[in-house]
Amino acid sequence: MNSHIYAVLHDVESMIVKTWRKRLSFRIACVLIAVVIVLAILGPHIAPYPRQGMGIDIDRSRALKPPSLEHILGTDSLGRDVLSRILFALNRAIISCIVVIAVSLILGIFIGSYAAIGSKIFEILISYFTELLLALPSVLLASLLSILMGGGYWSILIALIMTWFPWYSRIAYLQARSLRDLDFVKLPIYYGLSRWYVIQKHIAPNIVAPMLIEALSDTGSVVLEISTITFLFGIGVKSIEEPDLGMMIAYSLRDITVAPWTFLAPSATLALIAISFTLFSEMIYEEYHPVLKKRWWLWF
Amino acid sequence: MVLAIQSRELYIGYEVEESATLWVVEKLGIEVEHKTTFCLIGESGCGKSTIGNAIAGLLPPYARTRGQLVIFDKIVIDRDKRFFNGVRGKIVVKIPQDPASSLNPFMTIGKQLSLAIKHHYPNLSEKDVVNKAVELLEEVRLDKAVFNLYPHQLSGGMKQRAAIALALVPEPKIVVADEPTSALDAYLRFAMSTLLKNLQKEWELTLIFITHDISVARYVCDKIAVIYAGRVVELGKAYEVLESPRHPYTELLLESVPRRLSRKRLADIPGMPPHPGKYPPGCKFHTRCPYVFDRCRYEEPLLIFLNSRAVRCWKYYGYSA
Amino acid sequence: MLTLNYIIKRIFISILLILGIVAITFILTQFTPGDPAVIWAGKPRGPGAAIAIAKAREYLGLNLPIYQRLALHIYRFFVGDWGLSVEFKQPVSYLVVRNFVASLEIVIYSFAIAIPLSMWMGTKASLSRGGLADKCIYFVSVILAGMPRFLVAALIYLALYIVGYGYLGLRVAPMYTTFSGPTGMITIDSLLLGRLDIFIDSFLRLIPTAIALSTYPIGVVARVVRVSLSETLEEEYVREAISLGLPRKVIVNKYARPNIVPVIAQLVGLLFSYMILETMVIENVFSREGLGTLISRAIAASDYPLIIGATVFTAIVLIVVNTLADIVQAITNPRVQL
Repeated sequence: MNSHIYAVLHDVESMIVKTWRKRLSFRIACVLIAVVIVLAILGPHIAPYPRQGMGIDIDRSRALKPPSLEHILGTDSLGRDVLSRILFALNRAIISCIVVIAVSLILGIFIGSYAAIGSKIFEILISYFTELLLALPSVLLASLLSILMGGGYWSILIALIMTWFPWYSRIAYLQARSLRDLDFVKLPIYYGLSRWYVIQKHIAPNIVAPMLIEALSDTGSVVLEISTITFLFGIGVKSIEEPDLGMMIAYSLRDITVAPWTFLAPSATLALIAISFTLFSEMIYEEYHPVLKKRWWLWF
Repeated sequence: MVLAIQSRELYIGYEVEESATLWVVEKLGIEVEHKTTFCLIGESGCGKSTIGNAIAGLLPPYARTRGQLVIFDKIVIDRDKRFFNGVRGKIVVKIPQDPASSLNPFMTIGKQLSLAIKHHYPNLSEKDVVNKAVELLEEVRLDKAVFNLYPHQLSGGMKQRAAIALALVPEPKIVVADEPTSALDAYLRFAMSTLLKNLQKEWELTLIFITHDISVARYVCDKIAVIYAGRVVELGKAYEVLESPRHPYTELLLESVPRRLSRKRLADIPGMPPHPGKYPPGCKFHTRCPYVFDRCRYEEPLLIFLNSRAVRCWKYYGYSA
Repeated sequence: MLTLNYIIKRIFISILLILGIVAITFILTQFTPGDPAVIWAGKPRGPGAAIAIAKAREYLGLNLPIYQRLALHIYRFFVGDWGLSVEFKQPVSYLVVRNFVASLEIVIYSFAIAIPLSMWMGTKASLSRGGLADKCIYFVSVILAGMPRFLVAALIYLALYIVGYGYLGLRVAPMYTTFSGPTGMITIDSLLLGRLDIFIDSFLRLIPTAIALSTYPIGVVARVVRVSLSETLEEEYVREAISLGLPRKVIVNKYARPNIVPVIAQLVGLLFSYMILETMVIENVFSREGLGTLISRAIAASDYPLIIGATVFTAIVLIVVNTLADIVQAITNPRVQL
């Protein structure tokens, strides 16, 4: 298994290195992603006002201060330092995003490849079930789960996993289906090895690398979707203390005409994350596309 | 005698990365008389399709050129500049290699024909356009019913005929046929070659016939250029070249083709044709040549003219005048 | 004939999927952790709680055997009796359909803006691939798609506020609120009934939201058009058309573009689900009546019947839209081999 992991990592690494050499915007995107991840890890430790960042320290007397040396991004309506809030929120956003992507990727790969090499009935059932799940809107599912489970962040994550893993299982299914007639998949099954073993040894290593790139490209969308849902929840649910980009944006909306920085800072952060992840994956796609990597102009 | 196509030291390559060019065709110098059939013959990957595209004005934007190409006194390729307006689609057209992918799958044959006819004859009425399209279809021995069919409803041979009909719309003077028979079944090749030969005579075309099939070439062509690794290695009248080959490559190529009434063992050429960008130094064929001697390995021979033919081989160096 | 077979098969599958959605809602209402009746009644507290829970218990038929409950659930679903909203005290079906149509109006208008614009952008970019125009269009579309929708909406809102039009939240001016028509989309109804004044009023109120929403499909569709058009331009048959000397307009419009219509049809179907989510955000920013504001209030009030109803309805619309997209794709592609 270890050698498989190394092989996959090597594939991904060579893709990244090749694109890094050629494209400036890819380099910029990589640097931005690295900065975001470092900030997300270190955020709670380097935040200038950790107590305000966690939402414990509330003081209305310093509310809605414009950016200054003391508060680099100003303060919000409850007098908390916006920069500290963003640093705390970033940590949470990235962690939850990694959880969603990782869980749905693993679920997707195994369910998708099992559907491809499993029995016919299972294949049909899985394909209808994924289509069913794809039709469910994530925000409504999240709100249903939050009522059932008594609110909380987990319901959002579970709803997102339930709506994201069908994508990966569909992609994995399509890729595994193209592998299933090849001898190295067919023969072990004839010899009576278990299907799980075949998936782990022969199918997953072959489909993980492209799907990992796919997942990296979706990271931006997942961050956006999480904060969109918390934005919608934030208008209803009263948990002002929690540092979360979506909720910060939802609460700053009413002050947007008075103190635009409380709104602009978190949404610009989100935009930066989403755009840099999109650029990251698109540049790799472009570099490896047989047509797109060539120049073209009107010659006829 | 009118020269239809003339190329002077033409280099053609593709830009693979920024400022790195893969030269596929080098030092191409050919002259084609008008109303004759000229054949480019060689293994796949030797650059013959690239030459065809260059003549038809279909080099993509990322292609690089050097030297000159002249079509009827008009310089169409001059170093890295290409001037094909008024030539492409009016004087030169190309018949595609693979008819399956070269017809628009979203339009009926009739629609494609009428679009082209309307562009080339803007004064025709709607009815005349249809008449002309049907005429062209009959010209290539296709049924009228094909007019209303989509490409995927036709067989391979019919698609190829339809593609030829499309190419005849602008009444061109030069037709580049890029392996017109290679995608067809063996028994259709002869019929297709006959059709092209007859069309060439009736329409007084200059036909550039690109193929790797020697029997077809022998049947259709007046003159032959044998291409190896992007270079012309032998040039001459078709029967002369095919009866008494001079260049070792041509010899081997001819021996590898089965002949009727011959029990001689078929020879194959040892080794693989070199890829563009990985051409060996010296004579490009020396890695596979049975007569190789020292000079071949480090110095590339020039095209040596012997009477009506030309050979690029050191073997004949002493003979040249 | 193949196409017709495919369409019939596709419709049959979508009916199955809709039944699957109904089954999921049955599970979600009947087999919840805790007491289904308490959740259905919106977790009530205070003096009226016992009565509300008893009512919910009776509505859900919790004392009936399970097959009768399922039958009741399916019957009610098709009759349109989806329960009573806890927050609004109105039938769920009425609320959901009314607000969904309001959101759908925005989605339709934004697609109407986005598709022609992004087709143009994508075509322009792919024809000068690697050049300056391509790079500009590419980065604009990446930025448009990557920006969070609340940022776009809030910027537009802010701009309007500065100019002095801060009160675009309503769907139509207060004096026209009694107006209603057959489709529920005010801009279309007013045209159908010949009320031009109402059309102009509601159209002006709709346009900022539609523009804010359209940034997402513009960003995505433009990039997809660029990629698939670039691929098509390298196809052999386009090269043959060039060899015939056909003019550039014909080559781009007649030869290259039909290839991407099926792709766009499917993409629109896939984008739809995300667009619904984005509309909710935009409605909240503009505090405009629609599914988004409805759901936000429903979440705050733990209004379970309403959210179930909205989920079912949205899911069914998505299934129908995706089916339509697949059918369009099958029809526009003459070489279907399905």
